[in-house]
Amino acid sequence: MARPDHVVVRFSITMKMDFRTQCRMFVRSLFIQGAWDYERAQGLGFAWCLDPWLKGLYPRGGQELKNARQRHMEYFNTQPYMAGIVLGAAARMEESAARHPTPALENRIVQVKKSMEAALAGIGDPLFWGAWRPLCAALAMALVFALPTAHQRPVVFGVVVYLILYNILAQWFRWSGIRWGYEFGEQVAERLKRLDLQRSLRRIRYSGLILAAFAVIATVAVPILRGGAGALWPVFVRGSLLLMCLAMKRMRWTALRAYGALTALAIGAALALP
Amino acid sequence: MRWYFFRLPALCAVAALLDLDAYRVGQWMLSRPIVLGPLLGGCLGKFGVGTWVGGTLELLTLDDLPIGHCVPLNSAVAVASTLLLFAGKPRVELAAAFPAGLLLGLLFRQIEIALRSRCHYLVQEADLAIDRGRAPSGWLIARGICTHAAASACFLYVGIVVAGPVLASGWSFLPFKFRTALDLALQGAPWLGLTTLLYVFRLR
Repeated sequence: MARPDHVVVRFSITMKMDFRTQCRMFVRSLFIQGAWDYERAQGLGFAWCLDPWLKGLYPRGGQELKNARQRHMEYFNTQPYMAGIVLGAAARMEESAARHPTPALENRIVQVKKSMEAALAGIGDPLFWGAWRPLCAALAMALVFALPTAHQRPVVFGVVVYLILYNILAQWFRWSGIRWGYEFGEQVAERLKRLDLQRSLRRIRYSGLILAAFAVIATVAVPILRGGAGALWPVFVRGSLLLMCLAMKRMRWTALRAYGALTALAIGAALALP
Repeated sequence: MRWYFFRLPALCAVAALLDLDAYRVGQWMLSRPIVLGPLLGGCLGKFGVGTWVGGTLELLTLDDLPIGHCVPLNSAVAVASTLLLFAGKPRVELAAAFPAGLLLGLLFRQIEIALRSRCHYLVQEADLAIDRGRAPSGWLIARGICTHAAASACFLYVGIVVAGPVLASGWSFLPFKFRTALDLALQGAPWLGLTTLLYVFRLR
């Protein structure tokens, strides 16, 4: 059957999101913030990550490839582990644009990227920086204190547990996000809702709070159990210090400012005492 | 001499390479104090102190988050400079090295802001390359990474070489009460870290 005149076959698209392509994007995404700047943020890194895919879509180069590259050099900034999702979605949409190029679709790619970057940062920042990283650190420290401290092995074990535990989730997100973004395209946000990340975030926070509470009880109250009434004064001092530091955190003081206040307080106490 | 020409540059290079993980490359948490502290401490023969400093700084910087354009205190530079000052020649007391490390980490923040602004030239080169029909080169990203690594290694080296003798000699002239006060503040640092841990997980 003869091809109708209005159908233009530009070229055959042979790019596919297979394991090798996903690997390549994953490895490049590790450097997405390598040249971060204030004007384009991750823009250069994103364009570099996506470039092999774009070269595959437009093997003859030309103005379409140039336009596609310029599209992805624009400002882009999101949580680095979530950037894979946007990479996958952009790859999917660029594939559609290469098959059926229209200005509307090309503009849509830029709009979808902009809407996804903020939404994914809103998920990734509290999940990884605000909850998962502190929980892994707390777990590692708990392991270090719980294990026999005859030599350095508990510390090494704690550090290794911290790194493995943290990166299992973080790098899994970075890797799988590329596939999710490619398979679901613009609908990936809907699919992410099914993961119920907010509930996971709450669970992580509750677990961390329980660990932190145990740490406080262990350091403040255990001396009473061991030393009896004689340990009341040191416990009182520790408890007061804890409350004072909590007040500093409540006032949103940074670590350096709070440490400076502690130092000033200590100097005042040293000067006041005979 | 061996310290200034071999050990210190090598350790600064190690710390600078691991500092890249904080922002530029990978984000595997290799630059976190809880990892860098024991590692550098072990290299310096002060594993216990390295663990203590690393653990305390990890807790202190838990809520210092790299969100958006915010540049937090550089915890890798802070832990590296604390340990290099403490274990270096001349040796600085930990009560002076710890706040000095925090200050150096804060100072490096300004350098990091300048480095990020400079990356604007790399982006301009990429734009030119695309205009000429070429791909945005991976070498531009490599240059951004190498510039950051070189800057942090140099900053650490110069910081230790300058601050080490100043703090060591200053400590000996400091009145006893002030030294005691700095020791007390240092003992309070883990408590500050513990409250940061509680605060990070507070119910919202």
